[in-house]
Amino acid sequence: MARYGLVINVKRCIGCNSCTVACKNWHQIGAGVEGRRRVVDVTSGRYPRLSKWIFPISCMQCDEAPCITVCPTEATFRRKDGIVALDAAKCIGCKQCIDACPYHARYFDEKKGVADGCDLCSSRIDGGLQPYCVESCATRAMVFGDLSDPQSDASRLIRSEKGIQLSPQKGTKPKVYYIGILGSALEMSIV
Amino acid sequence: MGESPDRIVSTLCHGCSYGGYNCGILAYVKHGKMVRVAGNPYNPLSEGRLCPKGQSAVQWVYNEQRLKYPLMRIGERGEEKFKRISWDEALNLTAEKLRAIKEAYGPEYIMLSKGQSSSWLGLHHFLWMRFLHGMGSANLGWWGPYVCYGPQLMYHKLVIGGPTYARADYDNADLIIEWFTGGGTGGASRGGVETTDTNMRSVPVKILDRLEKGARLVIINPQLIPIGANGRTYKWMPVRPGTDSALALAMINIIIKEGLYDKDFVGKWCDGFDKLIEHVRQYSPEEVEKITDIPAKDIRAVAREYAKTKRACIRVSESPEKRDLQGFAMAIPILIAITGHLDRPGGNVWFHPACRLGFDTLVKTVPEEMKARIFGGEKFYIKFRGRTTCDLTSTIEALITGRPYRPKAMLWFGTNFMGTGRNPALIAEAVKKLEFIVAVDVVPTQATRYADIILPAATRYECDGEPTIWQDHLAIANKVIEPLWEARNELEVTLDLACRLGMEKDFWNGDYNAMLEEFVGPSGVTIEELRASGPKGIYVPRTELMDKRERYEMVFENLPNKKVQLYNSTLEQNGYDAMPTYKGEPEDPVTTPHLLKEYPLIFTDEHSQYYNHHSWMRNVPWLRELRKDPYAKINPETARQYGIADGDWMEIESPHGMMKAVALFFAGLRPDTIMGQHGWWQGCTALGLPEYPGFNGGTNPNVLYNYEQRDPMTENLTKNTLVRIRKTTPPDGVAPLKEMM
Repeated sequence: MARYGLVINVKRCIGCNSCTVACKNWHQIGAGVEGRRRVVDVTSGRYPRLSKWIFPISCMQCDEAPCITVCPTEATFRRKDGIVALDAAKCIGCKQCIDACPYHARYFDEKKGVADGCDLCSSRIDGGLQPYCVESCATRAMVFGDLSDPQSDASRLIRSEKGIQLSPQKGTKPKVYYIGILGSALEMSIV
Repeated sequence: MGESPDRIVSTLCHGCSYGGYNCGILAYVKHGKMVRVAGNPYNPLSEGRLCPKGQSAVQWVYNEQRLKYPLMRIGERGEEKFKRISWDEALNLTAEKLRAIKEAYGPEYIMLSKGQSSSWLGLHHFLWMRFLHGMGSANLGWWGPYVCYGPQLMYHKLVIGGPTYARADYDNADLIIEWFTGGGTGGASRGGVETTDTNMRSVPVKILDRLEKGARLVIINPQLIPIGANGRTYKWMPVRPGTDSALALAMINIIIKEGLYDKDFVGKWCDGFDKLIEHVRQYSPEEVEKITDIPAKDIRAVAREYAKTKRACIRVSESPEKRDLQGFAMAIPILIAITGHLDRPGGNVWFHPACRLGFDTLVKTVPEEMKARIFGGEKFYIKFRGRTTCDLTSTIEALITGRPYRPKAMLWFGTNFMGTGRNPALIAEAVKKLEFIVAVDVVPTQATRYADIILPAATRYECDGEPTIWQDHLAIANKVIEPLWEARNELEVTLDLACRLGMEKDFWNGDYNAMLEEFVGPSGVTIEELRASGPKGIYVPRTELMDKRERYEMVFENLPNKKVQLYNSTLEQNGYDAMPTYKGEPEDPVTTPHLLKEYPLIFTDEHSQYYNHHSWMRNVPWLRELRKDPYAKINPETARQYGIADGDWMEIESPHGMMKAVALFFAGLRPDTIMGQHGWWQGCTALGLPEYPGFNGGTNPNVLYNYEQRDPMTENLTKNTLVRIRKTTPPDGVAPLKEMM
């Protein structure tokens, strides 16, 4: 069975927020709510010796997902292909999943009264497509793929570029990997 | 998400302009409504990618702030009182007025101005030139040549010839120098000038692809631009704003002194090398370090590396120097030429599409005596451009003084005269002297408030759009939905107006399709074929010329002796400097150190950003929420000295004016520099953000700059000055015009 994940090649990210808006465009999420994706900027150091890192953050698609554990109505669930998804019809808006996520990757949609987060465009995946942000990324900085297949582009990249997860010590086993960034810089994004 | 669209329409993005070969878009339509967009994977330039502006197309189209109906002024000019009228009334009134002015005074009293929004050398541009020429006037002008990139090209042409400008050949470069560019963060997509390679759809990807293959990236910029983030920068040279020509001249000096220039190329293809050797001696790295604040050893290193790297390119965008435009704009092409990087793979090469679309603009029908009457017609710059466009600074002065004559009418298409132009108060004073102004736009602008007639333009997604070409690929912007409210396609409006003025014979008897056919004609493809080609578009045969390099005989053909002009006798004969010299800006720490006590910081502004385009698109909620406030970047250490926190409103005052902006902390900016962004004025109704005033005390950086000291040849207006700052309160918001909503 497939186990879908995402590789973010920070070397190719220019922080343009195309993915942030792409997601709102595709999923018709209005302005004024946080949405499923964000770009973080962790510039540090002093002029002129500074390090500037910009990269996107979204649902980490954890194998040990706290959002699933805490959900009282099974609105948040894991699909057979490993994707963490959310059935808005079952969501009672208790926000426990939002509080439980160590990556602040979910938001609360005040208008609909439900939680929301990235499910890797699961309905597109069911149709044989890629997540829309991956497909339309302005710099081709993301690779989607089946992590259970060692030959997938995503798996290869994680191996060859020594992909790292954000805060692996939290023990949630994310399926989103970052390459081309120092672990310390990556950690700064959730401080 | 589950619902499937009724139709998917292949079109082109409106984000950078109405009319350019922009990124390919697939628009999804459900129940007659455009519900979402996706990138078109078949578009050979964007390949399915979209930037935030493209991604938010739906919110640009269904935006409550759009102009919806034709309006007529009923109060005093600028008093902002309008009433709704019909299209028929609006166009008849316009036709009557234009005819009366032409008969009473002459056609030159009628002027036309367009903005970035309608692209360069696309169908809109061609049609509006034809319209004005058809009326008998050649008084065409826009703000671009005074505040943006354009005038550099004249200097480039005078030095290295060529059809337009020699662009960076990223695909083959081993060393990439991004010199005061946004690194592809914004900029324009246009047919002629920067050859469609200035913006998101291709620049970042090309650079990133090449960096992955081991190329080195040098950033010359007072701030570290995003393309240089994430460990990608090989060398960042945070040059003091407004001193870049000194840096370039020092590089030339080092390259010559150390014998690193391309001796074969210089010997065979360059004129005036001996004089150049003498001239650049004054720019020693040590002296130039004092001017630019770049250590001499770094200047030497980058000069050597550029000269020694066979495949090395330089991309410049808008010039970092304006009063001293000549220094920078001539030093760069000289640097490229003497190092043998001109029209060679990985260097700076000329762009030739397989064919050029277009039709006769009727410019030959405008009598010479009428061309001589255009504003600034006696100036070298205007003559160099064949007197086909007038000088806008001369126009502003003519409006105010009445000398040599005061124009009566202006047609504005997609141009925000007060937002983009410098200086805004002077422009407002000038346009109040006009008898008749027609403004056509998608949204109300600062300028439409001054119009007599306001016409609502449809977005590109509502128009049977024009054909465009990039390299050998033809694409067309197909209509996605019918125009909303009473908006109309500007091209149709122009044809309609031409017919009402009795010019139907020159305007295809108002037949829109016939116009499109003639425009696409040079490609040998018909409009029907192009429309039927769907998302794939049509490839026309490549020409031998477009894939050739070292095309020196052709590109140098119009230069004296058919050689690169290192010493420029044409300019000398016209009373200008023959070689580039660093002169400084009207106010900067090197030129006017006495001002530093009162105005201790440098101010300049960036044009490009991911979420807007000049003064466009701040009404789009998805974009605006990512950058809500008119900002000025400031180094946190500088801000602390003034007790300013991230997000505080700042008052920024120069010797010429005052603006307000929100402090945006950025450690990657020189501590002596404040970096604003032009184009902030618009409110965003959906997010409850007010419109801000565009004059002194508002949010417009253009009020800060010196207007009198301009580049002697091109009238280019400076965007460098000295300022003092302090924490302040937000400016008062301006209520949007109710009648337009």
